Amino acid sequence: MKQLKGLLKKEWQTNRHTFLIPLWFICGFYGIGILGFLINLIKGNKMVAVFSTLNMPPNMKELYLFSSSASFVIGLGFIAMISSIILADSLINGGYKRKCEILHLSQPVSMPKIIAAKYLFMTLGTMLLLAIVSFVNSMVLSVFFNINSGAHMYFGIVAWAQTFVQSCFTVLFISSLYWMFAGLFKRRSFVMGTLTILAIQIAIGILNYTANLQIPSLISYIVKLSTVQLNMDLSLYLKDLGVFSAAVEGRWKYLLDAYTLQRVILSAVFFLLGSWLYNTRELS
Amino acid sequence: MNSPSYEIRNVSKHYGKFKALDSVNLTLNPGKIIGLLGKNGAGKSTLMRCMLGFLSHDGDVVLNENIIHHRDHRVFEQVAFIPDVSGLDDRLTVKQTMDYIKNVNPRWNDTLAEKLFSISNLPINKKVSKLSKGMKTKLYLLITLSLDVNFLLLDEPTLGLDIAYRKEFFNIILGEFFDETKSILISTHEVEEVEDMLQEIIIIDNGSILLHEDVESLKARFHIITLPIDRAAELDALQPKLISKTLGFISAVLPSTVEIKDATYSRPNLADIFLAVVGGN
Repeated sequence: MKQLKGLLKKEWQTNRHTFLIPLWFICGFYGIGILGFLINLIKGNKMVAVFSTLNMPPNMKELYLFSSSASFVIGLGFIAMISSIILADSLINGGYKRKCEILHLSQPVSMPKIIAAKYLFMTLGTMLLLAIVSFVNSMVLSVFFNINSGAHMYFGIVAWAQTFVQSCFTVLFISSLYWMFAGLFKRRSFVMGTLTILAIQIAIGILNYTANLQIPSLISYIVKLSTVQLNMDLSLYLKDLGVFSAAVEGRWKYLLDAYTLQRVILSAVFFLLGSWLYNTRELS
Repeated sequence: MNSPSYEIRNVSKHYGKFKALDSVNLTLNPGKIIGLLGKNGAGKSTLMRCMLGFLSHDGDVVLNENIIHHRDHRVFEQVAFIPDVSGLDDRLTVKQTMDYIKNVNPRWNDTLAEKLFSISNLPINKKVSKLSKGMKTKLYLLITLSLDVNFLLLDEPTLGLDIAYRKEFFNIILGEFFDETKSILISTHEVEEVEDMLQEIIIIDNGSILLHEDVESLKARFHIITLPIDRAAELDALQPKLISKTLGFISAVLPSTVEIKDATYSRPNLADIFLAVVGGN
């Protein structure tokens, strides 16, 4: 356990700037907002909100809160996905690129432990950060909407919870995919991995065209698995809060659907493949 | 308690069709400082990396009766390795580097580390990337010599260091690490610098071990024969691997059993013997 903690601490110390990208992003967002507020204050402008929620139809407030909260989590989830892709390469190939791989691998630590520390840092670490950052943001939004329009905070929090769960699986899937590529390519693993996907897609296109096959698009499939869908037609709920509430409640059962299962299975496969490739490397 | 043993049994390593190591057999005995000499590309680094499990290979590397497989971490419970003193992680600070090794390596000895740190003058909170090469050397030595291990493998550790730091490097290793229970295997180009500390010598060429011998007996087996240049034919007839000419004289390293009338004899150093065994090209 001491070794695992030591490894995780080292990964934090060496990769924290990349790891914290979602936090820098949200800080930047709020920083710009506060700066704008201060500039207006200094100029003596009237403190008028960019949009007013006071005169909205009753159901619109909850809808706004729900979709705002969910959109922020999806946005932050996307940022977290990017940071996890960068992390995958840095965790697997950082030592090699910085010529310190031998130092790290000259310690009596088993490979499963080294791999576990790296993968946990990339996946669970990113998800934990996403949870904290997106939750704080959703709370701020919920309080803001509640104070300004009386919208029930429940919709902001439930939007966070549902979208966060969905985002976790997309982060898991995409980071595991690029974990495998990082194991396969020591240099420029993101570019090489993406080119590999493109090459497969082109090959599929040629096969479909020449042999009249119907092989589905790989890129569409990856995009499907790496994006979060709300699966709600928000316009339908404008008239009736009860219908909207029921729809929000109903979303829980869609969070763990067949696509989620595919994300988990593929993540496990990518993780095992990437780890095996990393483990079989020769150090020179 | 049994003495720790490190054996290389019939180890071969291929890179495609190129044979980097050819059926190498070696035993490292405790209490010895062993020099591993060879030209560039002779197989020194490959041998060390096979010994550490960094490279897959044919044959067996056996450490304390355990066969070491590719990427086998158990080797580092007994062995410490310094490939190049600049191979530290420059994203960490000095303190973070020390804490990291302390946390992941159960062989870390706090007392030894504190002693080494107190004489090192290392800036504890400075990033490794901001350290001078000399300071990096000290840090690498500190984190390596603070480990209670029986074998220390050094692969061209002082490459790029100036003479003062190279001297200090070897002095610290001799003073703080070496005793009769431990062995050091040093691969270096700077033979003259380590000559006085070496007890055994291994010469490797084209992936094969040409020689593994005690330094004193090796030096006794050879001598330098010097003749006036007009008697060059007498030396040529003995077909030495390398002949050197200086100021009207010609000399070559030859076995001590070879004698030439009226020749001058002198004691060779390791570099002379190395060139005599391997050749100059």
